[in-house]
Amino acid sequence: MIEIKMPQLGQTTDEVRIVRWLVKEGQEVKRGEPLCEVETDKVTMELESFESGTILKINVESDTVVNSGAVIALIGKAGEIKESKKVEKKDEVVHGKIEITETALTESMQETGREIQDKFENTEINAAERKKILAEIGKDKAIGMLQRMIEIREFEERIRLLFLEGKMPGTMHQYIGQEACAVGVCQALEKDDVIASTHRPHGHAIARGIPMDAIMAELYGKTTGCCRGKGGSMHIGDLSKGMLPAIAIVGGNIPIVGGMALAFKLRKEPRVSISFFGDGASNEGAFHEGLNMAQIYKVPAVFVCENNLYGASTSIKLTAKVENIADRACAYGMRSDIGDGMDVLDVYKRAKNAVDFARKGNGPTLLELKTFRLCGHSRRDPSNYMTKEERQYWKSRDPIILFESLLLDEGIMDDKEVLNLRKKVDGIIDRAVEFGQTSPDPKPEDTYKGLYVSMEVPR
Amino acid sequence: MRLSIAEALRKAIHDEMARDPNVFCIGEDIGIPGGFGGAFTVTLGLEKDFRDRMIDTPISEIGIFGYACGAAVMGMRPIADVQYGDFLFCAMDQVANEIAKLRYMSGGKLKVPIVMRAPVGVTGRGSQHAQNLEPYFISCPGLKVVAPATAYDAVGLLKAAVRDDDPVLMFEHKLLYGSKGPRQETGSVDASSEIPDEDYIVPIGKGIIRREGKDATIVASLLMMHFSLQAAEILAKEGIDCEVIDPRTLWPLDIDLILGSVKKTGRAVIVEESPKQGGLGAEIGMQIAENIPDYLLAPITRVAAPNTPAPFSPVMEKFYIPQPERIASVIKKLVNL
Repeated sequence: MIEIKMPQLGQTTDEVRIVRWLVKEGQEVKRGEPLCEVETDKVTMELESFESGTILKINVESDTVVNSGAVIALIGKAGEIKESKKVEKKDEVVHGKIEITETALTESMQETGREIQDKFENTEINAAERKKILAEIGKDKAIGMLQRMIEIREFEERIRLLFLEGKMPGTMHQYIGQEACAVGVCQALEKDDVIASTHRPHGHAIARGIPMDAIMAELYGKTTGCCRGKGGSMHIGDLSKGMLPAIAIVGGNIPIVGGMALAFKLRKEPRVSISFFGDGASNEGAFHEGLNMAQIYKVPAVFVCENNLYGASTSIKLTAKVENIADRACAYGMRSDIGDGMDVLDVYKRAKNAVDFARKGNGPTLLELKTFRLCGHSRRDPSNYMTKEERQYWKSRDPIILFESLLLDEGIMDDKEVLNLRKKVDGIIDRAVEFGQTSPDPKPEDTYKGLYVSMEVPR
Repeated sequence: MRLSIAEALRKAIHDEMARDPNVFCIGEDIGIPGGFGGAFTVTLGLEKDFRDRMIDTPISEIGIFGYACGAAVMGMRPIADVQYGDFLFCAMDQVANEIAKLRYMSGGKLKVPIVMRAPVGVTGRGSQHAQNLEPYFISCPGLKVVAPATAYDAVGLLKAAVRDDDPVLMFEHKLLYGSKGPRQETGSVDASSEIPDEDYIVPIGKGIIRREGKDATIVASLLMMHFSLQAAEILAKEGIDCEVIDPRTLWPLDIDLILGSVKKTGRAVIVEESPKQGGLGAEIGMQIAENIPDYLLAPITRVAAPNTPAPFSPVMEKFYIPQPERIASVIKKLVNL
């Protein structure tokens, strides 16, 4: 039996308010799953379980203020404590309050979920097609894709805990739930192709093959980081490995990727550049100018919009009145396609088509991938703007579970191999954390380095 | 061969495109046969020799600078042209967040060798096509900022900028271009030079003494440099001997040249066509004050535009731009303190 203690979360005070419990006594939880919603002097966030097991006892009612260090719940093996407690009544009251503030949005979100469900019933690739793509990719690469997806998921889960434990500096925007997008697209690329990412770049970097050690060290701000500690979470990248340091201004990478493709075209190099961005970026001027010019010059680029339905907390339904982001391509006379961002094979197939199309000199594609963020927008976002139903629907389409079950069903892997793969990934992440934590810090005066090529920074 | 700045830049760009196949031009109306050759004729006719490397764009400044940035990162050497410097604000994210910072954010691994050309100057167009933007960009680490006042320097700085591995923003003055035909500007000042046949550059970060003198140092660039020379002539008739320094590069500043001159004269006057608040004078003056306070015989002084946008009415516009007479009268008071 383990005591769950309230960690030090506030910046100026010890006091933390438990807004509501997200688990009940007797419920199974896994490490990293949310236990309750808490509010500090600065933020509202979800408190996650540091342990897996059964919730044996909840010591504190919802809407109660406790101090850091207070034992708020007990976790252990089922049956360790006999008595079971009734569900807090206040829990329901709090739910009610939240529903009132969200009523207007709830309807449109559920609608979004339904529409997307319908869409995939129409366009989903069938079992025969899946087998065909799997055969085309081959066993080893298919397993490699699963490994990359698990790497991304576990990397994000690990750093979230490190962050909550106060061991990691800065902020982070996580990629949990969207793994199939990055991995499917990057699988379709050649070594000399180049990708560009956003403020949410960890997944793209891992999928592109930037060594995890260098990514982790960058998050720690160390000299061994892929940007030598100058970039941080939002600027992960290494052009020598095929990824521009991520551009964290929404939409900012779109014209740059067009320009990279223009360079390939002017030099007649058979290379393709990829821009990853979200649904929110499609409302930026840079999207419009970037795509319009890409089609004018017919540059070898693919614009991959990962439509996770939310720009931070705002539903895309509130910020765009087109059914699909891909529909916007017709404004530029550009080829477009829509893929299932939770199905890595569907993503791969559509990305491969777009990349081949570009490489042959036929011009760019706007490829929309319908996906979902199974985590907050940034480090401490409890995603209260999403409905439970919506989250459940997308969780049931978890891209890793989908692909893992497919590989099991197709006999490409067995349970033991999957377990070993997960262990292998754990080992990679353990080593990366160790590398990140033990690498040397930069010197303060390294601040002056790396700005100009041909001169020192004037002081 | 005597060339205006517009002709000189055209020659320099032609030379660079002929020398290096990675150099290309990107901008609005720059290479349309029968068109303008950019807003002030600088790229006129270049499409005849370099059709594939004159990239005419839609009216999309984010696109121009974003595409230039992406191409530069991949090893090209774009010369990005904005019709009026004022439009840089449309592309500010690409210039200030992407182009200026990408190398730094990469930990010094990337290069972003872009030349950005932007016409400036208060010239009968009201507030949105006629302003001097230098102050905004000298406070943007990662960029280099140059401002040629003569055709000789325009060639040398353009070539240096194209060959430089860092992003360089070049401000050009509408009244100094010497553009001909329908693009001719009222109130133009002759900035033409003899351009030697042989290849040369003007090093970025090196200023020049345009006129030697012992009583006061005037620091001024672009049109203000020419007006300062005129002011120095007015003062010379009254026995006041001014030294005029043209920094040519606004960032990094050739501060040693300026300090050396002020040590000699004991008086520093910075003349600028942009608003006084937070301008070039504030920066240059402060560097003088920090470094050589003991040499000053009079307060460091700025002659600048009012802290307003540029007005349209010719009466107000003339008041807005520091005129040679105004510069002279300020210096006269300073010397007679």
